[in-house]
Amino acid sequence: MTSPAPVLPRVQSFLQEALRLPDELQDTPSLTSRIAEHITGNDRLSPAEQADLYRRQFFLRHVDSLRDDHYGIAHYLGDDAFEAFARAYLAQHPPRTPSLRDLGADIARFTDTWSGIPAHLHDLCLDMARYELLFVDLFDAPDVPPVDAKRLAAIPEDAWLTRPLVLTPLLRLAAYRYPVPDLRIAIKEERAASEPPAPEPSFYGIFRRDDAVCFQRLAPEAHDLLQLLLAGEPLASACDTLSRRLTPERAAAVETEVAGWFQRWATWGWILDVEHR
Amino acid sequence: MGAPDLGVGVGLRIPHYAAIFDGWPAMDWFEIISENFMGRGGLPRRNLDRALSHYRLVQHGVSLSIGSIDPLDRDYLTRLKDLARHTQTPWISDHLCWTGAQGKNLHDLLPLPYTEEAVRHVAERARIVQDFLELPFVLENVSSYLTYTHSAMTEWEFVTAVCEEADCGLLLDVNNIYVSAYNHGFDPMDYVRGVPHHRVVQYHLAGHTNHGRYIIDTHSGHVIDEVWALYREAVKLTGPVSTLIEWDDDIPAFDILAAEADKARAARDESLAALRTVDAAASATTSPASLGAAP
Repeated sequence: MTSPAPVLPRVQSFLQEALRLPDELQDTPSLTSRIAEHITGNDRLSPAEQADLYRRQFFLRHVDSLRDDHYGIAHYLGDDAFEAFARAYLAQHPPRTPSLRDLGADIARFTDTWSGIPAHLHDLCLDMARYELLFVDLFDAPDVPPVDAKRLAAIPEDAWLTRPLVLTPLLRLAAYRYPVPDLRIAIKEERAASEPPAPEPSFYGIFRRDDAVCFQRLAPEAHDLLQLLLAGEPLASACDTLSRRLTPERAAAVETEVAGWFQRWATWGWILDVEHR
Repeated sequence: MGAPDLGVGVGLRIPHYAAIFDGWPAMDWFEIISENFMGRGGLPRRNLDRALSHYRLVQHGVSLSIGSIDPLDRDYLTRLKDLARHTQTPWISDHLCWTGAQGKNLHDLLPLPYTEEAVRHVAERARIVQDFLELPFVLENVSSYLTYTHSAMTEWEFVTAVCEEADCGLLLDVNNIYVSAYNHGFDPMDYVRGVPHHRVVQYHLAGHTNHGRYIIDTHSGHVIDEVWALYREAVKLTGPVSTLIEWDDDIPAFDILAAEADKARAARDESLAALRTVDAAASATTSPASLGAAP
């Protein structure tokens, strides 16, 4: 006697595709007979209508989730365009992990290439997508032990200059064509214009402090110096590298600012230690 | 199953954090959605620890996908177990369903066909999960909006077969029974009577949204009278079992949720009192004296 053919793979394989289709299942004649192979329906709902309850939930749940994490993009696209954007994203990048937290993982790449974004919004939406992804990542990134002030005070002065610095892993540096962290706050506080702003190259340190994701706007040179420090270059050497990239006048101005920057970075919890040999 | 009766609790939800962390209201226990705290750090973990400092927490998951044809997700299970060590949850529950297949996740609780094949498939995986987690594993009956042509048994027969073959606990969601009974036209009391009562480790109670032709399990609004009635009958069959109110849509002020928990406590007490009366009467009618036995 032979065992009956397994049903589970057939049912799940069919439904995982059907329930992600963009159109109502009862309006898709090519599908209705296949649906009826698996789903009974009842005296109130046809088989396709029963399945469609799940299909509608798929889009409601995932579009809402994307809107929660990417309300900056939604603000500039508008409700209808964001819905189309999110549905197109879900078609290209179906959810693949147990957590909705990871749903937007590919959204920056998608924003960059999706033809549905109007040209005048492309750079703004792409910057916003990158910032919003960074926000999600930092929000629940692994905790870092608090800065040990006593330990910092005991570090010899020359070590700060000559040894690589240990910066907090809860810091990200970002360069944008639009000041998207500031714009997103304005959107959240319902004081942002619906029209896109003019481009404004902007540099940020984005970090988590006291469980909140925060940002500080940086001078372009401060951003570059931090990049060098993150790459492992000691402070003195990084300052020299930076100076060589600048005009003599700007290099001289930066030299007077570095001490103040460094003090502020320490205050914001960005500097944890120096590397010990 | 030997699971402790924790009394009546509610789901721990973000809109209530201020009310809970500012006032530490009395509550027997809270249920957390495991996936909301399986991240790496930050505010979610801090809030979890604050809740743990005052309350017993029980983990309830939505993404295990015990019925999926895909392999069990070892990374997910490892993180679930890590969280369980942290919360000291007395058991871990998830849904008797599938949430995705072939690497795609629908993030929904899809019913399984009620077949012998599905029983064997789920039971084997549930045993593996229970062994891996080293904690009692509990499966919840889901609400459903479709029925399969392939099903060869009732849902309660399926639930019973899975729990027996997997040797796992049952989280009986009474609202889900009502929703599925409405959607598929069966008597919800047949379901309540038909499940293995000794395996019921926990109850869920919730509101739903009736669209006329069908009901969606939205976890919004108050528990309706018909569900309270089912719950009272179920408690008479299972005895005292931990009970939880779920409210996830149109979430009200914490006081309203706590009042719903009080209502559950009263319903539970009423059923347990009735059970004691019946037991006492039975014991009286079967005692040696009532049988006229010699002293």
